[in-house]
Amino acid sequence: MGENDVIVETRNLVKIYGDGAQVRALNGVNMRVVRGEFISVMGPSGSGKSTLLNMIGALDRPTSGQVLVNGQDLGEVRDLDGFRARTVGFVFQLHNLIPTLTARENVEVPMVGQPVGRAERRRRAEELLALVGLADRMDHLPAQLSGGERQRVAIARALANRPSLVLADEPTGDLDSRSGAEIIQLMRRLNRELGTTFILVTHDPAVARQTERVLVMKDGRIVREHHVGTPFEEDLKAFRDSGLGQAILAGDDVARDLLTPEEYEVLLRLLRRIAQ
Amino acid sequence: MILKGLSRRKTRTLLTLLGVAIAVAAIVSLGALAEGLTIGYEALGTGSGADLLVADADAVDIVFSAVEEEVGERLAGLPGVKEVDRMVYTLAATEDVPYFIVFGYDPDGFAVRRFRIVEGEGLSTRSAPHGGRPLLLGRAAADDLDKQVGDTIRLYETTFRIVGIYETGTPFEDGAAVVTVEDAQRLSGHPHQVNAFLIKLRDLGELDRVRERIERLFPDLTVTRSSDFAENQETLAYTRAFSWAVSFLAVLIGGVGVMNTMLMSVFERTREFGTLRAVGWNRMRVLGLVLGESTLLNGLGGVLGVGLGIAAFKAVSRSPAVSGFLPDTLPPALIVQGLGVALAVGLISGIYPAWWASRLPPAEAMRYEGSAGGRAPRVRVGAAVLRNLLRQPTRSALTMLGIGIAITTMVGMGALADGMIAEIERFVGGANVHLVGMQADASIDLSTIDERIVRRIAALPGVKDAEGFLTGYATVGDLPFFVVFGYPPRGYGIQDFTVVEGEPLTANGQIILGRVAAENLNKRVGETIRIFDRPFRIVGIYETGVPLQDGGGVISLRDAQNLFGQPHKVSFFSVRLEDPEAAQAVKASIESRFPEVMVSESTKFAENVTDLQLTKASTWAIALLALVIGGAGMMNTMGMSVYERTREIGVLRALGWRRSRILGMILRESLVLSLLGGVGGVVAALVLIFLMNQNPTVAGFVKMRFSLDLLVQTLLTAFVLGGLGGIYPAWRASRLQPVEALRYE
Repeated sequence: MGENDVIVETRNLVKIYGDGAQVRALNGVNMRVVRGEFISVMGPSGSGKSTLLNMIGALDRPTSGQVLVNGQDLGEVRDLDGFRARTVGFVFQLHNLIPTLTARENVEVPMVGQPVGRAERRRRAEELLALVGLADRMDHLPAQLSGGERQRVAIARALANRPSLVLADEPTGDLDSRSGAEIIQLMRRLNRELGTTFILVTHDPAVARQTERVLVMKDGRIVREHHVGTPFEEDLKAFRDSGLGQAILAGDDVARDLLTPEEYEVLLRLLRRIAQ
Repeated sequence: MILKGLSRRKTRTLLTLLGVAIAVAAIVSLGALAEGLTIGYEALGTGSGADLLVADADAVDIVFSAVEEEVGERLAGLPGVKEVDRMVYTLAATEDVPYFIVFGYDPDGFAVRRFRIVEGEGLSTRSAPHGGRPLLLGRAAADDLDKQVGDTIRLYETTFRIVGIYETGTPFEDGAAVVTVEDAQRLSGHPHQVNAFLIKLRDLGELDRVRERIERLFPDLTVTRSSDFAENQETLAYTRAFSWAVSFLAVLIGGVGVMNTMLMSVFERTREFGTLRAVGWNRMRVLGLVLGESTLLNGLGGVLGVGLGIAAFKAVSRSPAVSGFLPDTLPPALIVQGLGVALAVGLISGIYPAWWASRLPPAEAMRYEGSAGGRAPRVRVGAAVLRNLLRQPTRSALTMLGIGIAITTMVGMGALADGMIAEIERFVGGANVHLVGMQADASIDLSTIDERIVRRIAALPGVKDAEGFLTGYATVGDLPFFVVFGYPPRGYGIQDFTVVEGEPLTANGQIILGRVAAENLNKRVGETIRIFDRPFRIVGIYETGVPLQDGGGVISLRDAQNLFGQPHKVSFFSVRLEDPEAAQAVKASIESRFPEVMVSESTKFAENVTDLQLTKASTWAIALLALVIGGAGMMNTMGMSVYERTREIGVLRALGWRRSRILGMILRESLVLSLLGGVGGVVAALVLIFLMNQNPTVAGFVKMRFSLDLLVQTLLTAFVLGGLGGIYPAWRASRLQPVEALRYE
């Protein structure tokens, strides 16, 4: 894992709100996100998770510390609007679509002001809406869409400028559990298909469980980090911890005897990946 | 609770207050002007100590009245008459003051006694210490002009010596000057004529009998009781109508603003009204709450407006040019009137919003969502800008209405002023005329020049010929402003009046009538028409295409001079040159030789006449008033719109939109809104102009002109209005911090 693969890094990030009665929303956060990851930030309200997201998305400036995105220190970026337009996509809890614009026009909004032609804008918006399964809802106004559909439009909008990073603040907070699950699945699929990094902020453990890695925040700090696996990975871990798994990893003769050389190589590679 | 409702949206409430306040200030200050004139005219009548007042029957205003002096002797000889005083009332230009009021009274008469001398001596002391014609100056005028007893003062070209300072307690008089009848006649250019005779009776019981006798003896004179005098002056009626019209307009635009604010406030609080109904408030209580807010808002606006009005009044009173036309102190009735109108507007414009709020079904109202971002649209129409404006269709419509009315006013007033100016230029200039002249510094209605001067100008080198002509107003039949032109029948000026029926004017006692006048009066060639009770035989009908001319008639210059009592006088003159290129040189030579005349090139006449410039300035002032109120409404609407969309703007910023783009978006909306209002206003104005030009009374006097210039000016104003009204809200929108905007509920 080289330095190039780190898409987000924070160094001793501190954010203090207010002049008189100060609130330390972030109290020294250090984290790294690898390109292509699908992670979540969890914690009770007031723990600083949304603030962290705002810092990464350059919506707000830190009091001290650094945020690096794609190796670039955001404190040194002059055109933050341009940075937001090109590098990150936002998905909010309330879909926050513009009520007067149709689904397609809402997806086009981030491309306005970017060097994208009108026709290309339209084509791309249609392509993205098709990608999120709303090919037949392009010309509907937000009021004519269901909650889940609106959030899909919001996701399509977040992807408009092909960002390398999507930040989602409680994307399922306003949805029922079924639509919520569908939205997470959609984001997971897009993460795999497009390779876009996703950082989700949530307080719902069910949502967090569906991500690869969970950062748990409390009082402005990251206090724990879980690696959550898929069921397949869980099984693989169990296998690794079994006698045979340990034997394969250790290169025991027992294992070599039981398996063909090809099988041995495949299993060893798998176990090494999971072991780190 | 009512106060809290209003203080929620401070900027909106303030802007609405401002709109109402300016409207009320207009009522108060314009009302003061009308009131000042009334007090002044009342002083001329009632205050004079006279029982009866005799003046010209057909004169529109006492200032145009001209009665032969010898009538006075015959009046004095009538049984029952104790004393007769002459009165001259005219306007003259003095240092810094274009229209300075000058009275001429008999120095030993009863009428002048009311001018209480507080310094120096009266007019009758003929012992002016350093020579010069004696003049009494009003206290206020003395203060304004910084003059003392013994100083000199120039009226037109004549120098007067101030022998005394007087006070009467009436600003109209205290801001003026009194000279002898003879001197005043010289100033007005009407020797041997007075504006009115003031009569004191032996016995008041004989009043009616004396009045009847005078009217029988002098059918072209009118006799009024001095106490009724002011009411009979048409100038007062016009001033009052004008002040009411402007005030009404201001109130209308202000009212639209209030309605807008109240509607918005009610829409926003839909859920709250639902809750109030749910906890047991009945419809009437909700109605009362909203009406209370609306009335309070206007009451506050009214108070602020009265304050502004008083400030404007105080500021204007200091200027010597107008102080004479204003009352001493602001009449309390006007303040009450201003506040009353404000409260009434509050009630009326609050009715619909209050009714709307009271009719909300509680259950639905509580489910209502839309305070932020307006009601979610169900249809998509037009471009994004239009869709944003359609989010609050009522608000946008009301804002457009306000701007529309302002623009209509502007176009209407502009067209009126342009029409008047164009006409006066045409009737003064005519064809093939190079220079036109009038009395220097005089009002065009009162301009008088001696015929001999015109003859001497005709003899100047470079001048081919020069001709004077006279204009005057008379009430003929049903036409209050019938313009009479007096031209030499064999001169070149009369050639402009193309006779289309009958024959041209050849002799005294004849008249040719304009086509429009002939139709309005229902007269034909060969019939007779009476002007100031003198018969004129209609020999022809002419058409010139200039409404002022087509709505009047032409008689011989001699007849006109006799009719208006101005022997050997003309109002204007025109000059034809040997060489048109020499216009500048000839103009300079005329003006240096005859300082009492003002000459200008015929195409530039309007620019040089104070009157027309004043007309133009006042139309612009009214338009500006309307625009300020409309602009406040605009800013209000755009401010609200930005406020409602705080979150949306946060989202756009989060998605990478730059500040400049947000600024542009809001500005564009504001510009579209004001341009739509502007176009609507122009259309309404065109309809208005068309209708006015169809009206015989108006069309006979002035034809409103709508020019491309005016259209461009107007749309530009609408554009500026949109820009100014939108710039602050747009700036506010662009300064929103994305994080905070997103968090905004």
